[in-house]
Amino acid sequence: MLLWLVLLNKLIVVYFAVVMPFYGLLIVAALWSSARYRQTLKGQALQRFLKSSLTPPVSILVPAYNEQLSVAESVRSLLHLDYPELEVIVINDGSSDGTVEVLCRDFGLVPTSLAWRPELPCSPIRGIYVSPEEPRLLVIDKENGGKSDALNAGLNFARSPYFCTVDADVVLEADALLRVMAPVLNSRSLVLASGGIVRVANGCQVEHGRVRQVRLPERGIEVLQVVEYLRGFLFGREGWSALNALLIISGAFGVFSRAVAMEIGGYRRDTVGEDMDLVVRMHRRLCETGRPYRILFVPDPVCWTQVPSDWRTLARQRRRWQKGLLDVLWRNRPMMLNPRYGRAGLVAFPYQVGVELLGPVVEIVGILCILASAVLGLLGRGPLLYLLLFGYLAGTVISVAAVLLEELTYRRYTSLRELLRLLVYALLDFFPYRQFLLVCRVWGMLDYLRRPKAWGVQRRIGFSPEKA
Amino acid sequence: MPFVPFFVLAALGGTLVGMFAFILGRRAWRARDFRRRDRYRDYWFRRLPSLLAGDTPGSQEMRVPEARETLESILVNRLETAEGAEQKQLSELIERAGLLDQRIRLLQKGPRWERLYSATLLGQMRSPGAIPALVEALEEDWPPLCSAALRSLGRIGSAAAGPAILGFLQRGRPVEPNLWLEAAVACVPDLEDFASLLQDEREEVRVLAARSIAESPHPARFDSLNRFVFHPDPEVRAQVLRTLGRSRDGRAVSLLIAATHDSIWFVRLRALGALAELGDPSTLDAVLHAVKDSNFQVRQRAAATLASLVSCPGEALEKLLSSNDEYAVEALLSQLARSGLLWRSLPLLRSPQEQVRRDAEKLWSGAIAAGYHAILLNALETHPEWRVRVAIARLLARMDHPALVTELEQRLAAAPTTRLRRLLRAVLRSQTSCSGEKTRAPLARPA
Repeated sequence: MLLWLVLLNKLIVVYFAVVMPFYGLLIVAALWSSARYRQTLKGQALQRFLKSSLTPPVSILVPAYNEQLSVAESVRSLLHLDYPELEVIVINDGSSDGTVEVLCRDFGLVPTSLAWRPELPCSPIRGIYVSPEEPRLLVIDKENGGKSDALNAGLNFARSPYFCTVDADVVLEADALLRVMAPVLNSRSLVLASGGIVRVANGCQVEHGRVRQVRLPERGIEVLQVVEYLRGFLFGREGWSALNALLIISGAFGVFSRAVAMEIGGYRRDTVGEDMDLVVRMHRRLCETGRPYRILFVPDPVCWTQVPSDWRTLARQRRRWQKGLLDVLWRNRPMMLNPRYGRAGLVAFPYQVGVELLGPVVEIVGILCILASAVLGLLGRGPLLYLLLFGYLAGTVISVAAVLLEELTYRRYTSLRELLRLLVYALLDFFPYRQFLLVCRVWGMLDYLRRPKAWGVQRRIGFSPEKA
Repeated sequence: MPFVPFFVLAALGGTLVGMFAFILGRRAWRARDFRRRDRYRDYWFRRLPSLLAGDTPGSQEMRVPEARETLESILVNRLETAEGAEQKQLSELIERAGLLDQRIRLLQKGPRWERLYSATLLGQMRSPGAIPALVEALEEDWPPLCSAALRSLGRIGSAAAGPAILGFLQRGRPVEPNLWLEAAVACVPDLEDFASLLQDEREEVRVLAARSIAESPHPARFDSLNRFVFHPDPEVRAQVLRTLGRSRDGRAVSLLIAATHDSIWFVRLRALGALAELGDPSTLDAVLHAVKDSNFQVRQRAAATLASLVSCPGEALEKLLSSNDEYAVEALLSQLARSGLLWRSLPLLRSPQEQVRRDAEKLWSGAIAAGYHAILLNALETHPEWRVRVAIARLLARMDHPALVTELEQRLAAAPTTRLRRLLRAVLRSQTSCSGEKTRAPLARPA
């Protein structure tokens, strides 16, 4: 028993010794990429894309399931985006609330019939609505089939070479689409997908589909998620993007090549991590056919989203995400350490398996081992304190570094009071919030093994004119 | 049990404290810097009227780099939206204040990122005096600098930069396609200059040249382009066809009609787009043929072309109905519905002008015959103008469609108001009285 415990302890130390350099590498790559991007921005006159006839049209797909509280604001903000040519396709995925009714009322929609080709499989379409005043808006009412199914339906109707997926409960900044499309327009090689940063809208003042004032949320659980999102996007995604091995583009806001999405058969309908699955399959397809490509993360196009404001909803959301991750990694397991898939197969995929998927299990086992060792007298009070302090400091340095990167680059939280609050919560991020998430993620994995996949339900609070 | 050395803990703790100090210190420093810049901004705004009137900023005023940068950003921002005389005044002031020369110097000999920024700013200044320095920057080995120089040359849009831009592509330098296209379109006024590139052995050069021709705002000459309509490269063919559509030359019609039979679908698509631009009603039969194309997107484009070619979409619909092709009819109607035109034509059913009313009736009769009656029934229930609803009811009363009676009965049962029930009942009465007398043969689906 004691021998096993010692062995386990040693294994965990080896695990962290391997993982920490990965984090270090990501931090360095993110800092380098951020600095470079900031300099490039100076030379990039974004407004020229607005006037250029070469800017390709974009179809914005908005899958909506029981989103009556926020869908109208979101669609309004999408229609007012600074972009020369776009169409907004809202796909009502069999909502049981008044999502379609709200849209019909707010945009004067009328039912119509359209010829369309079901190139991708999707649930039966119940109705199609257009707006006589706003020809760029199309609403598809279909039977419930999940988010992937709704996106497939939208893809069948999309007419542009690029499509942008946007959740119905988010608000985009006016130039977000232009910014996320900028690398697509500038790149020498084919850009398959490009994603923007997702930030927390809770606490911000939202008016007429626009974030008027950026503020930190009041509740602690929401501020902790602000820190977590900064860490996840500014370090994780930026770092992987710099290595051209980005495996996730958030489904809340991302642009994808329609031709390649159609080529790989659109979204997989029986998965809960459809956004990651699409990106991973795009990597696979292009590597298998030997075509050069880029999948990018752009840090300044901002998509504001509502995050869960209670522990129960947060737990449900994280369980769902972990289920999605496990599902996608399992389905695409041939990529694991396969040189055929380049950096995506040799570095990013093993990282996702080792750190994102198995990390929570290892961390929980590690915590239990430390406690058991202390109880069994294998670990004295001094070394125990050292270990706990080390874990806390290592985790907190990453969170504070994320706040630092935000401060060095985009500075959305302008007041000193908010900056200080953010820093204080970065100190609290490691304990007990992280442990709570670890449990949720392990629970999600167990869920995946036991229960059929489901989209899940998230409680919406809507954007009020005062506060989101 | 593994032991964590003390220095690791100390390093982590130190890093944490250092980051905190850096964040707060930087915030304080930036606040001070912004206050300073605001002071310069206020000063320059007060001084601007006299500067624009011909005054030159003194060397003392321009001594501090922040002061110089602030004036530069004010002038460049104003230049973005300025027109005519104001634009001229601002450009002259930029030159008089030495800002242009300084940026040229920085572009040639400044630090790396400053060179990149200067290349961009020179484009924003839009001064032809910057062209030689920017052309020189095109020869640099650093791709971002070349891109910025190319972009700025495009913004200045002077024909003097044309040969350098064409040469840049010919020499096979790595190029961002859209950037080169924009610069070429802005700086090469004679489309004949692209013709030699269309025969280049490299595909990417041919495609870029063809796209430049298609995007160029300068007049396209039929005589210089017609020989490329049968170019072996389909992308070149497609772009040349687009340009021919823009040329508005009647001689292009026969070539475009021939191109609607091309083996490559997107060439056919471009040919149809060009026919729509030419707007020649004599091409109607060729477009009607294309509505039955094997490719879905070509069919959609043909339907859109058809809608733009005829003065009333009802005419096109009537012709398509006579062809008995369900797919073609659907393509046209769906195009009309998606553009909102179908719904907007409803009020025309009660237009006082007889011709307009007849055209609208023709369109809707065709739509009902093609099975699009649901839109009309929805409008009967929901249209905000009651008089339009009455006009719809009148039209429906005259129509005969097998599915109408059943649908009318269902809607009558669910009608929320007495007024609507009365209207539906009237339509239903006329339908049942003539039901079975006139029946239309169903439309055929092509193989």
